[in-house]
Amino acid sequence: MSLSLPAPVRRMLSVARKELRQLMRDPLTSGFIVGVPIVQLALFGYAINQDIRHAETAVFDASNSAISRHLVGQLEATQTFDVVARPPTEQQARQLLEDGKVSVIVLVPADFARHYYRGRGAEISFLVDATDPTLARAVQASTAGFEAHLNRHGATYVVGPGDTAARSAVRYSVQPDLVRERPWRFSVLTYFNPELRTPVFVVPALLGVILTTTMILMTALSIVRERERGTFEFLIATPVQRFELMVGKIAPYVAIGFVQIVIVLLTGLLLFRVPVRGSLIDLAIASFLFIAANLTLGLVISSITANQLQATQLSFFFFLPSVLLSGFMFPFDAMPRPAQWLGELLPLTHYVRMSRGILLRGSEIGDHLPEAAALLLFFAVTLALATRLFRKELG
Amino acid sequence: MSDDSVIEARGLSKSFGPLVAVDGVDLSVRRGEVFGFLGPNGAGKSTLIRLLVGLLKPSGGTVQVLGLDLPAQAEALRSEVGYMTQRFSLYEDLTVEENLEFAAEVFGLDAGQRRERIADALERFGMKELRDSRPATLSGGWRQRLALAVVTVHRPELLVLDEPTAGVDPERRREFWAEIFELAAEGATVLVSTHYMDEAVRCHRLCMLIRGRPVAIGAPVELTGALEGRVVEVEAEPIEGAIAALARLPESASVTQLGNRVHVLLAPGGSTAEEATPKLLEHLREAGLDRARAHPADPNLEDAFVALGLGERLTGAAA
Repeated sequence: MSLSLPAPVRRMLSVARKELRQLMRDPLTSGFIVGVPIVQLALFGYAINQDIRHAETAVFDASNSAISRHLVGQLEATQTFDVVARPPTEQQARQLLEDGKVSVIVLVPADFARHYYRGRGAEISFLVDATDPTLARAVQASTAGFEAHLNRHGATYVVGPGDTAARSAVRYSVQPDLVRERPWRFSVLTYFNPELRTPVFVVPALLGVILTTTMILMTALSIVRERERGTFEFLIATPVQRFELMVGKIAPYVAIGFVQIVIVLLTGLLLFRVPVRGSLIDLAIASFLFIAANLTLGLVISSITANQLQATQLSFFFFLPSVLLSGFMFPFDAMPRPAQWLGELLPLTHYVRMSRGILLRGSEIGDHLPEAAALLLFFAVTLALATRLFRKELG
Repeated sequence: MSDDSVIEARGLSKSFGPLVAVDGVDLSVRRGEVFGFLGPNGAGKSTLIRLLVGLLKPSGGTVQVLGLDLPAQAEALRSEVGYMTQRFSLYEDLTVEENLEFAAEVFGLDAGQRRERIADALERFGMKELRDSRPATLSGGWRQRLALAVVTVHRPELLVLDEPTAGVDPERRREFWAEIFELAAEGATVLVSTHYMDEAVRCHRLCMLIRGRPVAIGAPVELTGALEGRVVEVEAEPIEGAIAALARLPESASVTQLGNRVHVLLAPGGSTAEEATPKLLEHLREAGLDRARAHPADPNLEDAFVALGLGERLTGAAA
């Protein structure tokens, strides 16, 4: 260590080094750091697979045009829908749904083709048996992009490569590569997650969930542990200042957070082919803000709890709403308003938006300024709180 | 405050809610002294010590340590003090050497000083072979030595030791106290709390604490000297019978069991130990304790405690 560093920085580094040493020496903790991401990824990727495959579907195609037939073919190709019946009337189709013979009906109106070619916005209805909300959500998700496409860029379909309209599609589409390769297909139907695979959608969010668990819990425990083991009294009798202690304590976890990010991204890539479309630097910036927000929250928890059990409980008290209300478990837009307001208060909500955006849509940090600002604000507030609550004295 | 003074406390008090842990302590500790706090568990020794190192804010009174006002200048005091807590407070998951290293770093020693001091400490405390051991694997005596090594690595002016030898075997305790006096000889002022009389008696000066109050301050000989000629030591079988018999005597102010002996403290202003001894023996024989023996004894610190009229015992002192 260089002698030129000012004493406060040297003390901070000493605390950080000591913390890191202890961490690495505790097999349970190091296991936690590496094990949690891998286990959670495997769990959510394989076990909790929310993909809907082969939903039994009845199609009533009143238009019976080239485009409508093609469209139904595309629907089938996604493997989300299995067309098991083509009843001759709409009435019969609805009956099939009511009888539980099918769980989805696709209704194509007679004037669909006409509207479509005139670019007026053609409409197709999906009737879904919502007794299984997962199915309803899946259909909603898969048709949302589809519908938007039909209404806004309806012309894409009919043109071939090189046509002016194709270029316009290139211009409008968020995912130009796919369109350029095969401009005659309904690329928009498969926005961002072509096969609607759960892992692809879950992994970026899971990144945030894993960081939340480890970052908050570990810092929450780190200071309480010193109190519990009696080392705190030694520590506060040294010249280490309050702020130095706080920074030295959380610094190693920033590094650990990034180690976890690498583990998750690599595992996601290897096991589930989760793409990284945006810049890794943007992801790192977003992650840094998120990690900082979580660490200072951990410090707050550590300052107001008396032992490791309390600290763990309080961490989980925060952890559960984060998982439920951040848009990780349930679609944020589908939540009731008050739940959304609560969700906005959680760092995870903002990070999930950023990580999904950057990883799946290829968005940039500049597209996520509100989220970044929210995380910064959360960081500032919890830091102020931790500084107020954290006492370098006894009793 | 004279240049010579390391600690000046006036009316120092600390309450935790309704509990008064330290109650109006006036104290002066001189440079180079080995100053002891003697008192039973719960007498407020640890609280007083934490007040004196600036880890607790006083509820009342003033205290200056090394010329610094506490608690306002507590942070400035840190690098001048080596504080050994009552409970072992080093890192169990770091090695002996790493604990020393961490302390040397946070106390601001540069790389060269660190190497030199750590090597010194390992040598001095005989821990060279243990440098890579974890404290968890060390015996109580070694753990205390390590703690002392760690809190002296920055050569503090003031060394504060809170019951440093609690639970350590007598041999190790003696060795530990030899270290304390060596450090004092090198110029450190030492503040040490204990409930072992054999340790307290070695201090230059003592403060006896009972329920948060200093009941006597002075050199051990001053504290016991006032009782000269007032203590009779009795050996008898069964000891319970002897205690009961002696307690009935009008001459005895108090009767205290010390191991397998009994100390009788005679009432002030009455007969001397020489005069009272035959009388005591006669009384014991009348009570059927034929083989009892009695002789005048030098008063010890336990007697001093009893004489202060508060009936408190030094727990563990008799062991």
